[in-house]
This record gives sequence, C-alpha cells and structure tokens, in this order.
Amino acid sequence: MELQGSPYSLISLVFLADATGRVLSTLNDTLGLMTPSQNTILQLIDPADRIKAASFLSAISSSGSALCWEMTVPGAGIPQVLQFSACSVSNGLLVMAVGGVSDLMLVTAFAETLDEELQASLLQLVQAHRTQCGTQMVYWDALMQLNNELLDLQRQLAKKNIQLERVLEEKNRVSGMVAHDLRNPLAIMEMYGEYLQEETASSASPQVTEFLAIQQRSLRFMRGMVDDLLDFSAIEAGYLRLERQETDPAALLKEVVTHQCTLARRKGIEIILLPVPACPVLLIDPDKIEQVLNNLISNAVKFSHAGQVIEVRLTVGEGEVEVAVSDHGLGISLENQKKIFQPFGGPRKIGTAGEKSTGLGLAIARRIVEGHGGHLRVQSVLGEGSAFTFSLPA
Amino acid sequence: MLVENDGITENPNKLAGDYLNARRAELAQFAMHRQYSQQPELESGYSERQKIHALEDMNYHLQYLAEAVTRESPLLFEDYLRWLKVFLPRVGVGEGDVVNSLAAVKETLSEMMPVELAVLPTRYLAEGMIRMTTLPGDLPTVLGESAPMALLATQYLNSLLRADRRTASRLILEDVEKGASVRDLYLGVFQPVQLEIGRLWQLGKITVAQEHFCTAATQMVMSQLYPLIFRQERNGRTFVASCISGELHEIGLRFVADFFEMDGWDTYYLGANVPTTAIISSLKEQKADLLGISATMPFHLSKVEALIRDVRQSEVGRRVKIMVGGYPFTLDPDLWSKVGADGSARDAQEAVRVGEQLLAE
Ligand code: B12
Repeated sequence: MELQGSPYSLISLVFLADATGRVLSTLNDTLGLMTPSQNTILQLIDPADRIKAASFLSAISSSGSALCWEMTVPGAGIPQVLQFSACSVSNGLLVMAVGGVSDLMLVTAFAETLDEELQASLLQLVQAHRTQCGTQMVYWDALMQLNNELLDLQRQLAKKNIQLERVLEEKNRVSGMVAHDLRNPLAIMEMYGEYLQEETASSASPQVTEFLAIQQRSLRFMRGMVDDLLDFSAIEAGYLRLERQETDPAALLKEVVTHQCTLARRKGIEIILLPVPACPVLLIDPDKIEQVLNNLISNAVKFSHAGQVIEVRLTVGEGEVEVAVSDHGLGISLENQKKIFQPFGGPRKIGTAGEKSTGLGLAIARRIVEGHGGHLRVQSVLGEGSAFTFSLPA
Repeated sequence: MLVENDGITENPNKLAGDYLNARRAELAQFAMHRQYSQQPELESGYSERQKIHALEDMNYHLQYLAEAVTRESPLLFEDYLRWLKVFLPRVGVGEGDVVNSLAAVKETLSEMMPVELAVLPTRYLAEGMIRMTTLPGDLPTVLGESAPMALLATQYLNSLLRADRRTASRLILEDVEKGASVRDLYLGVFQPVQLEIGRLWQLGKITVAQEHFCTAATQMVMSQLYPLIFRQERNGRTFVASCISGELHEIGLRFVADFFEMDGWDTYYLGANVPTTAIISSLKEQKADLLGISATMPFHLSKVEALIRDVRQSEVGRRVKIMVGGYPFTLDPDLWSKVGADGSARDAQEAVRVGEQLLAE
C-alpha cells in the first residue's frame, strides 16, 4: 500500500544568521520555507513557538551551539515541526533544520558543495544533531517499556477479573442450590406443624401449644429467608426476569397498603396513603414491584412503635413515578445507611416487637428497582425515622 | 576466556565469535585498507564522511558475522545481507561495492585469524557473496490483496497511520461481533500490520513516533479482546512466558501466551523485566509445565542461552519444558537447539501445537 503524505518530506534548510537571528544568507532550502519577508529566525517560526525561538538564540550565544530543538514552521499550508540545530561559525551562526533524522542524509549530501570551513562545521553539526536524537531514542524506548509494563498489568487484571467472576458465579450457584434443597423439607415441616397445631388445639397443654406456635413462627421465618436467598442468588446470577405488563401503580399501591394495614393494626400502627395524583400507566412487573412495596412497608412497621403513623406517598415527576414510605420509628445511622442495601450488610436489627429480618430484603428490592431502570434510596435520622423512596421511569 | 567456570571447553564456534567481537575494530580497519588498495578509485572518490560510513559498515559486517558464527547459523548472516541489499542502494552504495567489502573482510580473516577459527566465518562470507546476487532488492508488502484478511488489515493500518485508534479499535470489535475469531485477528491483522509498519519504517515512510504509536495502539486493542481470551475451559496445563531483559519486542510473546490461554492453558506473562530468580520461582509457584522465552534482537541470543541454562539447573527446571521463539528463530529453523531449548515455532498457532507435543512426550 502507498501512503499519501510521507512524514519525511525531505526537508533540508541551512542558512547563516547573525547573533540576533537575522538571516544573512540562505544556503539550502529544499521546501522553499524561507521567503524574502522572513529575514529573521523569529519570523520563520510559528508565533506560538517564538519564545522558544528566542531561547534557542540565547542558548547558542551562551554555549556556542543548540541541538535538536523542535519548533513549528508555518510552511506553505500545513505547519511542520522541524528539528533545529545551530552553532557559531566565524561569520555568525550556522543554522540547520530538518524534518527528521533521515533528512540528515540530505544535509550531508548538500555539505559537499560548501567551502571547506563551512562543510566541516555543518558535518559536525549533523553528527551532533544525530547524537542528540539518539538520546531521544532512550526516551522512546523507555516509553515503550512503560507501555509494555502497563499492558502486563492489564493482562493480569483481566485474568484476575475473570477468575473472580468464576468464583462468584460458583458461590451463587452453590448458595442457590442449598436454598433450593432446604425449601422442600421446610415446607413439609411447616405443613406437619400446622397439622399438629390443629390436631392438638383442644387436647394439648398450654405449654405444648405455645412451643408449637414458636416452632411454626421460626419455620415461617426460615422459609422466608430461603425464599429471599433463592431470589437473591437468581438475581445475582443474572436471572432477574421482569415480566413487564401495563400496570396502574396507584391501584397496585392501594392494594398493598390495604393488605399491610391489617398487619400493622395488630401492632397499633396506622398506615396512611396520601392522596394519589393522576398517574400514568407503567410498563413494570407488578409482582416484583409488589414485593418491593411489601418489603418497604413491612420494614417501616417493624421499626415503628405502637401508636405511630407511617405515610405512603406517590408522586408523579418528570418522566418518572416516585413512591416514598416514611416512618417515625428507630431510624438508621449515617454509617449504616451505606450498608443496608448490601446482602446481610446492615446491622441485624430486631424490630420494636422482636421481629427478625432475613438481611436480604433491601438488597433484593434495590436490584428489582434498578432492573426497572429506577433508583431506591434512603433518608433517615437515627431516633427520628426513615424515608425510603424509589422511582420508576414512566 | 577459553574455559567456562564449570570446566566444559567452549565450542569452537563461540571462540570464533568471541574473537571477531574482541578484535572487531582492528579487523574492520584492515579490511577497509584492503578494499581501498583493491579499489583505489573508491578511496579517492569517497568524501571523508563516506569513508566513515564505509568503515562503520565493515564493523557491522563483523558484528553480525560474529553472532551468526557463534550460533553456527548462516541464515542469521543471510538476513543481514538481505537487509544490506535493500538498505545500501538508498544511501548510494552499489551492490558491487558491498560484495567487494565482504570479500575484503573474508581475505582479512583468512590472513589474520587462526586457521581453525577462520573456517566458519570465511565460509559464511564466501556463501554470502554468492547469495547476495540472488537476494531480492526490494521489501515486498505482506498486505497483498491475496492475504486472507487484507482488506480489514489495510483499513486498520490506515486508521492507525491517521492516529485514529478509536476507529481502528472499532473495526476490530465490529469484526468480533460479526463472529471473527480472535486467533484470525491476531495472525491475519495484527501480525501482518506489525510487519508492514516495520517495512514502512525501513522505507522511511513513517517516523519513530508513528511506529511506536501503531504498536502501542495494537497492544491496547489486543487488551480489549482479553475478556474473550480468558473465558475458555481450563485444561490443567500452565505456561509461563518471559522475554529477555532489555528486549522491547514483546508482542510476539504476548500472541503466544494468548494462544495458549485460548487453548485452555493457564498462562502467566512475565514480560521483559523479570530477573532469572523470579522467573524460576514463578515456574515453581505456578507449577508450570512449559516455559516460553522470546528474543528478537540477535544480540540477545546469549542471554536466552544463559537463561535456559540457569532454569535447567534449578530444581523446578528439570521437569519444565522450554520453548523459544521470535524473529531470529523464524529465520533459522535449527537455532532453538543451539541455545539449548526443547523446541520452537514460527508463529503462535504452531507454538501451541509444538507445546502440546512436547508435553505428550
Ligand atoms: C514493533 C517493532 C518494534 C517495537 C516493539 C514494541 C513491542 N512492544 O513489541 C519497538 C519500537 C520497541 C522496536 C524497537 C527496536 N527495533 Co524493532 N521492530 C518492530 C517490528 C516492526 C515488528 C515486530 C512485531 O511486533 N512483530 C509481530 C510479532 C507478532 O511477530 P514476532 O515477534 O515474530 O512473533 C511471532 C513469532 O516470532 C513467534 N514467537 C515470538 N516469540 C515467541 C516465543 C516462543 C516461545 C515461541 C514458541 C514463538 C514465538 O510467534 C509470534 C506470533 O505469531 C519489527 C519488524 C519485523 N519484521 O519483525 C522490527 C524489528 C524486529 N526491529 C528491529 C530493530 C533493529 C529495532 C531497534 C534496534 C531499533 C532502534 N534503532 O531503536 C529497537 C531495539 C529495541 C530493543 N532493545 O529490543 C529489527 C531487527 C533486525 C535484526 N534482527 O537485527 C526489525 C526486524 C526491523 C528491521 N527489519 O530492521 N521495534
């Protein structure tokens, strides 16, 4: 294949100048860079690089030469970065500019046409320029080495990442399997427990009745936990399947609140559904959102005291519907607010009436909401209560 | 040094190579005088500058000759001649002058070197002078239209030459999405593009900056494919890859490590800056079955040899198989045995095949 523009444009510019940079005579100019109006080095260089050009001149006057200075020349059309080198000669400064090291060959060839003194100076200058560029190669090599090492790290990281992913998958698979295997025996125990409760309702001593009731509560709690664990490992394994259908969120909310009200009343707590505004139909998985609502409201009940009120509010915003559940109960410290959405992350808090939590509810709720493209967040003050708010895109 | 520490007598080829290296400057001077006395028109016609260059060239002849002789590898020397034939006309040196300069070196060596040491170098020079006439004088592109993925490779290269690595990367990722295999992209796009970049650089069509950029960008694109590479089922085998310290050419070895990984091996890529002791402990730690060493610059071959020797002396080294590869090993198919390895391969695909074979033995 052929390249359009070669970066080696065969540039060789050689001229004599006085100590102030005024051009005395142009010796060689393969690209025609030097025009009659440019009679100083400063004028030859792009304005942006003129401070550098002035430094170039002072470097020559202080040390007799300056090597391989990269400066931009406006040229005819596209600006070019040239490498400048210069040294003092008997009648002023000998200045050379090339496009790259390979152009030095041109300068060398041109030098043969000069008188002996200038030829010697120019050849020396070319040699010094070449050596200086060699020093730059050290940096190119160092840069490539740096890049190689970065890539080594990246490879290690990619490999580690995939190993971690595998371990996580395996872990989820195992916990899913365990939960699944626990579920059947638990259901059987619960069923026989219920049977025993009914059979012995009239005959058993009050103590046996109480023990059976405790056992049934524990079994129910355990089954809830196993269900949560199954839900959670399915979601973590990427199996959050949303069966979206057109749903009226206000109707769904009313239904859940009504159901939760009966449970809350047993604890002497009231749930108030604030007036619901006109609300768009949403494309959501109603069962999953119901699960979220049940989780948030039952948590509020769990952590409220008898006589307190829980408010549930639905608002319609720009492109989204928001539901907030606020209580005036125990509240959550700032530090714990960061952890409660992690599985088993929050403190294993006991409800005001001794209720237990599986430790997975909020983690599942957040994943369900995020799976819908929404957000679930908390605002809370310890001792004053909490407000959980989630949004769903309309 | 005639005898190594462990008491084994050095092989005569290495002695000849050491001799050429130790007395290179002097031999070059003699050869230069000889050529000038045979071609007085050169001495009078050359400028001072050209004379310096001509002497430098004599030095290079001897340097590459030394490496080829040490390894008993005429093919390494032939590659140098191939390079000379392309390069020298560009700086105004004719083929005839090159052949004459080789002849001058040959005569100088016959005269000055101990007879038993001069045999191999003078033979390589004599063969080289004949070979010189039939070697190609141009650098053909490997991206010809007949190459299997030439179109994609050319588009990819053009994007890189425009400093547009995003398009380059998009081209590759889109091809992956269409079902292209990572192996094909490595061997059909990245490898020929690297060689083409080398060619363009030698022709003076691209700068050092462009060459470095293209390589770095390709390394980056390769890393975007990592998620595909590391997904294979493991086969229980482990490959550790290491370059020689100071070797900057490492894409080749990266290819090899990634191909092993895609074949289900567990691979560890150590790069070029790991000392021998750390390589050995890594072999032990990872329970490696195979060590791969890569070198591109011929003057790194003695380091390869030393590394292999050190590894073999370690406890873990006794059960690990060792493969070598890289540019010089692709030139000379027997070179691997001369540095003490168990095998080599010309490319990454073949490397996996040979690696499996070695372990089956
Ligand atoms: C890219 C490149 C560079 C990059 C390398 C960047 C990097 N991160 O790798 C940089 C810019 C750093 C570089 C520097 C130099 N380079 Co360079 N470089 C090249 C170039 C253009 C391509 C190399 C490449 O990427 N090939 C692609 C890979 C995939 O191919 P590969 O390496 O052959 O690997 C395959 C096989 O060999 C095999 N293989 C490789 N390793 C192993 C290991 C095992 C165990 C096995 C089984 C197989 C195996 O499988 C691989 C995959 O299929 C070549 C040109 C060429 N023709 O090779 C020159 C080339 C290698 N470089 C050359 C030179 C001279 C240099 C420099 C001295 C230049 C300078 N003046 O600075 C420096 C030396 C730096 C150093 N100390 O190492 C010469 C070497 C000539 C010689 N043999 O004497 C070449 C040949 C160019 C030329 N024709 O002049 N270079």
